[in-house]
Amino acid sequence: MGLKKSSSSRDINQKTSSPSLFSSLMKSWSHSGHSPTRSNSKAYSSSTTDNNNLGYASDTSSNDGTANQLTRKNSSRSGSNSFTNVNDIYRMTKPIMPTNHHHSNNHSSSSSILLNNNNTNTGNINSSTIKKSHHKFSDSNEDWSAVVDDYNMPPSMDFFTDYLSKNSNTNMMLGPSPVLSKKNSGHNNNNNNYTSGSSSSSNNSNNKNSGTITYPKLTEHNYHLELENERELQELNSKLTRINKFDQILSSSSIISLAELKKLSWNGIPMGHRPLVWKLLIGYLPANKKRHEILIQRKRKEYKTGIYHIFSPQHTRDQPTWHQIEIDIPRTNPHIKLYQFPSVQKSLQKILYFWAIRHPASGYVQGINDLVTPFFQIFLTSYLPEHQKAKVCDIDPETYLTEENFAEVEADSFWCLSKFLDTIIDNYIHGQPGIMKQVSNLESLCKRIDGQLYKHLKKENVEFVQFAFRWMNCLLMREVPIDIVIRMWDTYLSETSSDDNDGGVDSAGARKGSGSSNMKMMMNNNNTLSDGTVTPNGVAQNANDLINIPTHANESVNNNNNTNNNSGSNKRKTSLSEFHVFVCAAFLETWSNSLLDMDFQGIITFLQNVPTANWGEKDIEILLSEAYMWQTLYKDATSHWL
Amino acid sequence: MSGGRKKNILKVIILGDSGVGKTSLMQRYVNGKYSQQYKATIGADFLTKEVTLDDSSSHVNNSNSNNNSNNNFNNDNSRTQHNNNTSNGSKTATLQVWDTAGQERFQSLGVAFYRGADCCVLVYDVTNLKSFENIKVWRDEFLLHANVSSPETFPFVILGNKIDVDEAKKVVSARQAQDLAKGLGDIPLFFTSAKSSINVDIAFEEIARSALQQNQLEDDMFEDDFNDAINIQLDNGPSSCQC
Repeated sequence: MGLKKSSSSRDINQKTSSPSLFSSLMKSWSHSGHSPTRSNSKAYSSSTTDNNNLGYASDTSSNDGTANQLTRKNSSRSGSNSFTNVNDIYRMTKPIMPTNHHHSNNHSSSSSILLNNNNTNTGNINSSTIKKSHHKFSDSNEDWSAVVDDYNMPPSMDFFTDYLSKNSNTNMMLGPSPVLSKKNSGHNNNNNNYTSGSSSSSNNSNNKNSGTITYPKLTEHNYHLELENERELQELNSKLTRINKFDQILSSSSIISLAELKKLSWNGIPMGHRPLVWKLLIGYLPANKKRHEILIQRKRKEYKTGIYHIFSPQHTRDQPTWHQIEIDIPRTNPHIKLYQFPSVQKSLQKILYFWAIRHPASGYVQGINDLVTPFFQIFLTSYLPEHQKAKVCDIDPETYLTEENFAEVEADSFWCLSKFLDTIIDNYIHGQPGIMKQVSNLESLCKRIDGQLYKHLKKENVEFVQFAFRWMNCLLMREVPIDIVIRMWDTYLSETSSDDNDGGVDSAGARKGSGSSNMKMMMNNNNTLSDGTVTPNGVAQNANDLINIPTHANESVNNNNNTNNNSGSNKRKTSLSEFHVFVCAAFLETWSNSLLDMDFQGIITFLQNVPTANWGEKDIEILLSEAYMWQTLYKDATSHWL
Repeated sequence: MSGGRKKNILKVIILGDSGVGKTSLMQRYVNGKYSQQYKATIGADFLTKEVTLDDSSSHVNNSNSNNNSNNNFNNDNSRTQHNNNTSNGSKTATLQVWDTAGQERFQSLGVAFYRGADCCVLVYDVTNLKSFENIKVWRDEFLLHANVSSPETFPFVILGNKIDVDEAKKVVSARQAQDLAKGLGDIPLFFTSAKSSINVDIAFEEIARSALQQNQLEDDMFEDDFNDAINIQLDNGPSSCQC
């Protein structure tokens, strides 16, 4: 997507920018229930004309707080002075500007409708037009046409008021639903679903010569809101594009390209697509769409039969396991309403108990109760209407699920949890060797990445296991909020999904460029070294898994065999355990500066209560990108890992 | 009290079966609050609390008068020997409490958290017989991994938690508990409720006191010997106390 970028730092930008856009969009939809930007409408209306130029600057700063501040600083100036500022700002912000390149004109117009929505309350604002401001910019001897193309120019105010008088119900056109756009395979059509692009542009041209420009007084606060507005528009556009790309992949042919899907999912999956995409990435559903229905029915039936069996009188209840799960269920996500509903608790209890019984090598281990929740929660969303998906945590599923639906969600969650845990089963068997290895790998990684921090931790007698054990056991689920975890899993599942027989190499190569071949080598090396031993990296699945031959009760002991099988192949395979260590390293590194000032007590206390409560998707995306970068940089290091 | 005197750091480990209330007890003691919403502990949680201990009451009997568990704490003959460097009234220390996970699978972690402990708290749930029976298991487990210098004198404290529940739900009698505590070497025993805040402070006072005692004992044993790699500050030797 977008421009080809070569350097790794840009690559990061690319990764970090777009996905977050979608979910925060979704959030804003869900929060307001109306327009994501309505609350800002006042600010926008009072400032549009005054700051055409600055408006552009704000465009470019969409992804960067620093630039944002810069422009705000300059906002008090006016008239021609600000042109130079704008140019400066433009130059400054351009390199960090991530995803604007692929905005088509169609998208611009759909965004104009949004702006329109923001101006519901204003009728008396003098307008400027795209053309006019274009001229203004050409005055400054710069080629601003590119800017106009690239960054969405606010359309005329007259158009807004015009449009609004014709369309009283402006919410409709915001339709957050990706379902709307699903009908279209070409993503440039999408504005038809949301807005009428042609009417928007004709309106713009009609207004081309209208009115003189006045400069309403702009407060700094309002200006800030305007910037927010612009940003949200861009985010919206980017999200719409992404939604359409997912639609394309998922609907294009009978065989879904898992490689493409992985590539796209790495940067985040739109909420509406997540249930299906997760099932595909994890290998619960096959790439061949024609087999979806048959397979999923079979798996659901298998689950049902299994459940019937273990709860029949013939089955002797494993009391210790049952008791352990029973006391953990009420302690699972206790701060989220969803997990307090008896219906949900009952389902989770069944899923976890069934899993434990089928995996005697590990049995139920605390923390697995956390790991099932993202699946459960996401699969619930497929039964919710679009506008309620984001509220899944607040609604009792009993109000919208039939008993049959419940069984389906349970079955899907169970199978996906099984698939997921298969790859990290070493974390939960006796002695938890997987976790111990990960902790020690994290330690050696920290030593390389941040020697200063490493030395400090050593000096203070902090042992990595004292804080990182939980990071591994619960995959950081205890350290970040659930919606962040879910976003994280988009990447985890696409980073480590098993599509080896369908072009895993392709996907690795496509996304990772030249680095992938080296990494492949590395992984081969790794597998060869670990040949014949149980390793945490032995996450390869049999080729069968992709087409989803029903799994059997011996899943938990397959690990070893799979490792051996895989060592002969040329496919690159990132294990979840491996990537997760890099994410943990990035996570630790995030707090490096604070930690350096702390003593033992401070460090442990801090790392047990890491301040992530206000994290947004961008934060986790930066983390994931960093992890990815380090994985590439330190690939040689990992070949020595246990 | 000279200004140069450094703080004692006392390391305390809380052990016991899953769900007996280890986290709740610790939260009650450290933060004075109770919640139904604690997540199951993974690995171990860490909390600290500053404590002021009255040295003259190293014999804990007096502060223990309202303890309805009615136990003997006469086994502190060794303690009086260590009062010389703390004889000037009260003493402050930092309790570093490790609240461990109860599930058996996490026991392999033990060594990372047990080492250097000054006191070990064993918790059971008065409504859960199994958790009571496991007290001894937990104690042995601790001694196995903690590598303490003299297992016979290492201080343990037993807490029978959840005594706020209906009598009918209690399956472990006070008598049984007292017998066990005695059998394991006159271990101090408290019946507590984190929920209703019964005996929690008193119990932790005793825990802190035992820990301090142990800390000083270790201190004397390793006096000027070597610096412990564990996070105990060995700063109470004669050389550091010129007051």
